[in-house]
This record gives sequence, structure tokens and C-alpha cells, in this order.
Amino acid sequence: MSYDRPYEGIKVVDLSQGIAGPYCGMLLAQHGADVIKVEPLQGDWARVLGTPTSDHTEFSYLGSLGKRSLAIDLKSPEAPAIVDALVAEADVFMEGFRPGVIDRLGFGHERLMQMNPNLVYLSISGFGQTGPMRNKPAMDPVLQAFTGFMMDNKGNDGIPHRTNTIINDMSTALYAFSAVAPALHAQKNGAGGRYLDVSLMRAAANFTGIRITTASHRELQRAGAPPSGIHATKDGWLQLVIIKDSDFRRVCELMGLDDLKDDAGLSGLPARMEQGERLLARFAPVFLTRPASEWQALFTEAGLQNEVLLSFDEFLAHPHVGETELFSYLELSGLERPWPIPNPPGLPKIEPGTSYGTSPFTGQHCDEVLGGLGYDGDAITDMRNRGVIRTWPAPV
Amino acid sequence: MSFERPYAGIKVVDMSQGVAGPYCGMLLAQHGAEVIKVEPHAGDWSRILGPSHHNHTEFSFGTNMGKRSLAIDLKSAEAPAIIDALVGEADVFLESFRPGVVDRLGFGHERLMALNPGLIYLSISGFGQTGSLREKPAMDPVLQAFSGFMLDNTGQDGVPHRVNSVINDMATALYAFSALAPALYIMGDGVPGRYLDISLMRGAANLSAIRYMSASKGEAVQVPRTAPSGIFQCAEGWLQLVILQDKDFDALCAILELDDLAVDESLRGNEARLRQAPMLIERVGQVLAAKPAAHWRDLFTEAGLQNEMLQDYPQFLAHPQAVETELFSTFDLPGLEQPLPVPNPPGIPKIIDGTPAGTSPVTGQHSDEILDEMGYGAAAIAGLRRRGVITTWTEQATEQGTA
Repeated sequence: MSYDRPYEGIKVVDLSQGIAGPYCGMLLAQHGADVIKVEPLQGDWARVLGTPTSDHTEFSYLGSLGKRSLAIDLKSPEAPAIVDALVAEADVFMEGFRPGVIDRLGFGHERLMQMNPNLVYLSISGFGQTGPMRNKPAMDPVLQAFTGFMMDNKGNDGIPHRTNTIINDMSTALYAFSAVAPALHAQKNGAGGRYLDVSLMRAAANFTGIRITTASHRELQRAGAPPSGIHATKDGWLQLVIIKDSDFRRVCELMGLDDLKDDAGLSGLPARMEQGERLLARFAPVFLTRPASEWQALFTEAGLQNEVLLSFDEFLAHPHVGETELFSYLELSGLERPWPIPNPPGLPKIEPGTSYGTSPFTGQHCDEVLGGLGYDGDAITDMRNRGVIRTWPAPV
Repeated sequence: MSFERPYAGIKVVDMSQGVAGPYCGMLLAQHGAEVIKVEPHAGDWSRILGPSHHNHTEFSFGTNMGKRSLAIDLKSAEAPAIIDALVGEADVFLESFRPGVVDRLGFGHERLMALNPGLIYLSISGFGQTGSLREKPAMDPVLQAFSGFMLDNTGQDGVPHRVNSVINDMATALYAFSALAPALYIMGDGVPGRYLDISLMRGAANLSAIRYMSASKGEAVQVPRTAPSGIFQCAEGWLQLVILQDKDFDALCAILELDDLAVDESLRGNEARLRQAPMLIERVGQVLAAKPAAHWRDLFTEAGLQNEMLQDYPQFLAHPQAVETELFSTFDLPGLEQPLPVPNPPGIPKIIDGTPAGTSPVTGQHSDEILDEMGYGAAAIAGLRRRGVITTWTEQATEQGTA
């Protein structure tokens, strides 16, 4: 039991693919769990989501950090014995097939939890295991559309759009972790196993719950009451946040809008929300007179929350990001630049070359994992030759 | 130890305000922890983030569900003894002041962890406890700007914009929980307490991890991962479509009668289609624009294609899938005509209005009860209230407060 890696000793069998399930498994691995990624011979489909580099895309690399990979044909006659042996020793089982598929493969939660009553069994799906849409496949953008998020994410041109960040996959992974961790706590205290049904839909609803709650009883407005918002300046964009009346008066003063400063009808957020368009019309031309960095210096000096909109590269290069060791940089053969990987909170910095800083190739640990189950070299070679498993770096 | 509430018995003193800290505390409470929300007389500032009803806004309601509230003036002479007594019994301490402030108030992690060596002390801030920006205040949109997210979230008009959901607050709350839970797992196994420094910046960076990786490959502007996928404007409404595999593309071409594309060998495989994404999106878009989104949705769904009509939030709330899976619980709040829907997080029992887990406290609702449990008698509590150390919620005070 390590202070830095509290989940040392916990064993996880992770059949999930994509990013929501794998990223949850990755967090378990980073917290010390031994996570065996069980994937098909052609690899997790995240490995082809974009342009692959050395058997990895951004998705598969991040989602598999710190795991070991066993590539196996789950439909082969040998697979049940192997997976069952892993499950018998496991604390957590994860799968992300469409509802019903895992049962047909023979690894449904009823059978596995009967075999191992302490098992925490996590299913991740698009719409959940119940309800009329349970069988629908769904990746992140489908849920951005379904939950109302895209309609709420409209540009000034009125066109809804998708955020490029896969917020629903990521939040599903985090909510899954928030369900698994207390279940592990209960398991440790003798409560036995537990079946967890986590869906992208449920996570998306929770993640954006405040907007949904708001929309249910009043007309939705753009978040933030003007002059809060993004402003075009002489040379870039600036985000300003004004909540308190004293901050509002201060910003009016700094921008030479003294009549607004003294306007009693503009005190309080609801009033400024209501008169948002009028306020924006007054502020916008003033913002255009100076560069973003000048406004930033002025506002920061006055204690107002504001930030110049940075690009990803500018963010990565920012001194504060460097000083706080926000990112680790991990090498992968074929990449021109090492990959920036953000260090999750509450964990030691991810170090290149350690098991925590390595993301497995498809089947990289077949020999090791099967050896651990008692299969000898001949048996493993035989399975490889018959296409039951795929070991890295041998071709398929 | 309860199967449904694994954190029963864990005690949390939660001084955090806003969303990120409180939402983390709410998850602890829903998983069974006893969470005491310590807030100023004026209440957590999330209680005034927009129009309030019965001392709550959309921000304060869901994020404090299942907690009890103690309203206390932390600068009063009596506060240290009360807080120290709570911390002495606590497993977790949460705070979200700007770095340095909690030390000046006298509740810094060094002193509290000396007082209670087993304590898990979690600080939530905008930019973290170290580095040159540590003292900068930062709410969600500031981090959307700083992290690169806003420029990446640019509309077709070329204007970057903010996502209305407080994604960085929410992600930070979830990452905070993901740091706390493993620490709680080994609590008592002979390991000392732990100090956790969680920032919105770190939450934001992790949430968008994949975008930074793509950017470093020079592919950040390649918005679509699959083609022809995206949002299409139909005769009525909008439709989101995802085409990944060849068989999806074949089915799409058949439905839209795009026979020339179906037989085009240069369009086999997702990578090949990505290279011709603009042409594909234009061709598909032309056909989709001719009929309503619902028409296409039905055809695509029947063919097994991933697609969804863009709904607004009320449509989502009313959807049979949301209703049948009990995705939301509803809560009656005095002064509101309609009950307030709050989503049920995964892995916990459905939240029921009126139960302790289904009650979001108003400021100081439990001040008397908490002090009474600590051994303060009725006279002492009345004295604390008279001297302005604590406030105790009453119906009248709340009505005056919202008037």
C-alpha cells in the first residue's frame, strides 16, 4: 500500500474501448491499480481514431497510459478460460460494448459476479442499459446533440456547434471513476461487489446540469452578464468577468464610461443581464482601441478577473504552466515532438519511461499476462499461431 | 458501512464556495459523507450568481445537495474554537479561497494538519498554490480563455466563444473527487493525511488533454475525426451525424442516393474520407437541407447510423430516454412554479426530494443543530447569534433576504 499510489494491489480487467471507459481505467492505473487492457487483435478502435503514430492516436495513448495490453480474440474457444482466470483475481471489471453484446460474448455481469462476488463491474454505454434508446450507439458528438449542449453552444451567427474537446467522454470517465472509487471503498470494507451502469447520457446531463436546471424555469441567456464576456480588442480577444457592482464601476472608470458607472439602473447582475445589448454596444468600441495585453495589464492591476484568449501553443508555453509542471512530455516513436500530457491532480508527475508514463501497444503484454496465469511459452506460441492472441511486435 | 453510501461515517468540513469545491463536496455527501458547509453570513457567493429563489440559484442548489449549513463569521473571536473542534473530528477539509487567504484566516493546512494529522486537506483555486499566477482570481470563463479552449471553440463566423456550461468548474470538481477518493481509500491504513492542491487550470488542461496532443502534432484545426460527420442544417432543425466505418458510409450513400460517392474507390476508409471532408460535407449537406431533421433521423437510425437531432434542454428533459432512466430528480422550492430538475449522478441512489440527501440547505439552516451536537447549549448558541458570530436561518429572514 503506497501513499502515492493508493490503489496499488487492486486488479482491473478493462475490456472498454474508445475513451470514456479507457480514461477511467487510466486514472485507476495512475492511482496504482494493475490494469490489464483486454483488446481485440486489431486493437482498441481508439487506435484508429485519427492518424495513428506507432499504433497510437491521441485517444488510445492517453486512455491506455500505465496499463498492460492483452490482445485476444474474445470469440475464440480459449478466450473464456483466460478471461475468467483474470476476472477471478480481479477487483474491477470494465466494459464499453453496446448493451447486450457483453452477455452474448459470455462476460455479462451476472455470470462474472457470480464467479467473483466481490467484483465491481462497470458498464459504460451511450444511453445506459435501460430505456428505449439503450441499443443506440453513441459517441461524444451524438450526446452533445442529444442533451441540448450543441444548441446552447451557438456562435454569434446563430449556428450551433460541437466543442472539439470531447467533454462527454471525459466527463463520463470522471463520473465513472467517481462511482467506482466509493464502490472500491465499500468493497474494502466488506460490502461485496457492485454493478455500475454509467452512460455518456447520464454524465453529459450531470456535467451540464446547471444549464439544464436553468432552462427548465427561465429563458436561457448567454452565460455571464455583460460586460462579462469575450471582447475583440485591437489585436486579439479578451475574456472579462464582472460579478460585483464594485467591479462594474471600476471597469467603467478604467474604460472611460463614467455615465454607465453612475447609472443606478445597472446595479446587480440581473439588471446588467437585461440590458446586455446596450452595455455591449457601449463597451465594444472602447475595447477595439487598445491591444488585449494592455487591457489585461490594466484590469489585472485593478484586481478584475480577465484573461487574453490564448491558443493551445501559447498556453503550453506560458511560464505559469511550466512553473506548475502542468504537463509531462512523453516520447513516442514517429512523433516529431513529444506529446504534452497534462498531469491529473492528486498524482505524482507522470515520468517518461516509467510504467505510468508508458502506453502499451496492442498485445504488448500478452506473454507477461498469460505467463502470470501459468501458460508456458509453448502454449502461448501455439495460441499466437492459431490467432487467439496477438503479441507485439509480431504482425497480425 | 452502507453498500449504497460507502462514505457513511466520513466527516467533511467544506469551506469552499462557488461550484468546483462545493460540487466535489456534494458528491462526497451523496456517497454518504456527513458534509458541513461552513459559509459566511451572506452565504456562499454562488447563492447570488443570477436570480435567486429561496436563497438559492441554479449554481448553489445542486452543488450543495445533502449538506448541512453552518453560517459563521470566520473573523469573529469565537470562530477558531468552533472550526477547530469540527476539524478535530473531520476526515476531509475543503477550501477554495485565493491562495494565502485561508492561512490569514488561521485555517491553513499546516496548522490544521498539525491539529489533525490524519486530515485530507483539499485546496481548490484558479491557478494552483504555486507559480507566478497563483494569486490571480479565476472563475470558469477565465480558464476557458487561458487554456486555449475558447479559441478552439470558434464558431463558423470566426468568433471564439465561451461554452455556457461551467465545464472547467465541473471538471475540476470531478478531478478533485478523483484525487480525494483514493486518499480516502487508504485513510487509516497507517498513512498520514494528505494535502491536495487542485486548480481549475489543472482541471481544464486535463479535460482538453487530447486537444493539446493533437495541437502538438499540428492537427488541432482538423476538427472532424471522421467524415462526412458533423452538424447539418435540415429543412427543419439540425442533425448531428457520425460516419466512421465504410459500412456506415455505404448506408449513408444509399439513403441519400449519392451513387457516385458510393462507388468512388478514393473514398474507402475514414482517413481517405477525411482528406475529402469539405466536398463530402457539401454533398451530404445539400441533400439533408431538403427535408426535416426528423425525417433523416428516422431513416438513419433504422440503418444503424449514429445520428441525433439537436434538441434544446427542455426537449432533452422531456425525452422518453431521460424519463425512463430517471435521469433527473425534481425538487420543489418555495416561490418556484415548477419543480427544479437536478440530474442524478451515476453510482448513487436516486436523489429524493425531502430526504436529507435531497435537501440543499439555505444559509445557516443547520447552525443551531451543528453547534448543539458539538455540546454548545441553547443559551450559548443564542449568545453566538446575538453577537453576530453565527446566523440561523429562519423562513422570515430568507424572505427578507430575497425581497
